[in-house]
Amino acid sequence: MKRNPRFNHLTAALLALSFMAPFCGAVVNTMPPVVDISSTSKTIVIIDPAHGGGDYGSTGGGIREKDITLKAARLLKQKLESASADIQVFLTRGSDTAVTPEDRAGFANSRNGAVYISLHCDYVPSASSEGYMVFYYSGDRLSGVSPQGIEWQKVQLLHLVDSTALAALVDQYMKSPLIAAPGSAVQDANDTLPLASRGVRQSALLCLEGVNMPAVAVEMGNLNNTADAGYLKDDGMLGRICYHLEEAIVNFIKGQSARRQ
Amino acid sequence: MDKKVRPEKTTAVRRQFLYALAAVILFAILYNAATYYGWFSYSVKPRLLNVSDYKLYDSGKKKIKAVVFFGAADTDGLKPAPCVIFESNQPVNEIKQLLEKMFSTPAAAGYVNVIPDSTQLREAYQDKNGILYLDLSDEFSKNCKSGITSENLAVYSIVDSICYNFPWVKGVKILIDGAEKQDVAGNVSLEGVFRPDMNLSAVKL
Repeated sequence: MKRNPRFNHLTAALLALSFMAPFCGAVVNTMPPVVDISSTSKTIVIIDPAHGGGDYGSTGGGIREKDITLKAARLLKQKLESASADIQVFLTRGSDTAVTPEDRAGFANSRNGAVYISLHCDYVPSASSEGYMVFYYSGDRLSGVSPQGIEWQKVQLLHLVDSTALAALVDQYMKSPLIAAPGSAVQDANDTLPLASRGVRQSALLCLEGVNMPAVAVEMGNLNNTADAGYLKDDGMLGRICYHLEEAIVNFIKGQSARRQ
Repeated sequence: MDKKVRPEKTTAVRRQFLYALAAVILFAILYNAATYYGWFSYSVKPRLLNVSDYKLYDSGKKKIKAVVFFGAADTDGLKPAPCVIFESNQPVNEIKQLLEKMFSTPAAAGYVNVIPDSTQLREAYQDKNGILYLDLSDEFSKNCKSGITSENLAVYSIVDSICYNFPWVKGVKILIDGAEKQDVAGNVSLEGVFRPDMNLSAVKL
């Protein structure tokens, strides 16, 4: 075969560039793919599985927070979309990838979500402390200001009243006995979660900053507690947690619709 | 037909080009590995004295009773514990003593350590609005366990201890290695000023 010197040099140069490119820290777009939702009349629910990719989140009991939150998010999405044909659910990440907090908020806002729920697993230094906790954004409430007139990080403050109500509802449904969902692992007719409630609290959370809709973060359990870690590892228990969350969200949406009429 | 023989000059040039290319590739690999693994730092971080490097107090001065908030061993909140510091002509010096005690004292029975390992106070200063700026070492962020509660406890252990003992402090702004950082360890935002949250310890200010 006749060799072309120029072709060989070009090939070598291209090989070198392609080898160096991954190390050059090229900017990676972490925004989830855009989906056209302009024609939908459904209520949009955004689920945010915390962390992902190189960001493991909390670790404990042999599990990583990012894995549990993604599993729970997928289960919750399935349950919400089965519960009502009028609900459409989007996840801020559908796989084990790192997405920045700004991109998560931007994704949620671009879809005009009605509700935002961020799923987490906690780490409490006290190993005897167990149970779930619900958070809403901390700050003084803003009113009479349009979303265009305030810093984007503070826009969640416009929804503080609704977020507080959502947090209280999630806490109520998580600790209440519910009629067991069909096919659930529960023996009795009533489904009561064995998780204790550590209450509802305000916190300056990155995952809620910039979210322009009622939003809460749910810490589903303490990974530093053996019992909680065991529950979160169990798919059946995770399904039951998501069932309670689904009921809380559906009832919140119904309440919001009733108030609007 | 005779095979064409490549002129020597062309072969030499080609060889030099390939050597140069190999050198560039090798340099790129070594440079990126060195940067990634931190074999060298090309920006020298100025080392400020940590407050532990200089004497904060005169042991001949009057002792003051103070309260610090450590993690409670049996709940997800904070618990007060007594401590003693020395009076100083400069109020910020008393705060520095308090924090040095908190960071260096191991948790006693009934308490858990919520301050990330090896955290050091680099500097503390106040502005005319009563906001205290705390410059902490990056171990505060690097060694903090990721989790909303662990991060909140790390922050409010410090904020509540300061605001409880020094009522003239209206809020605390936390810097890491002299700069603003977005979050503690992925969950709690470090932007803005922290006000005390005494609900974590059920103690009234």
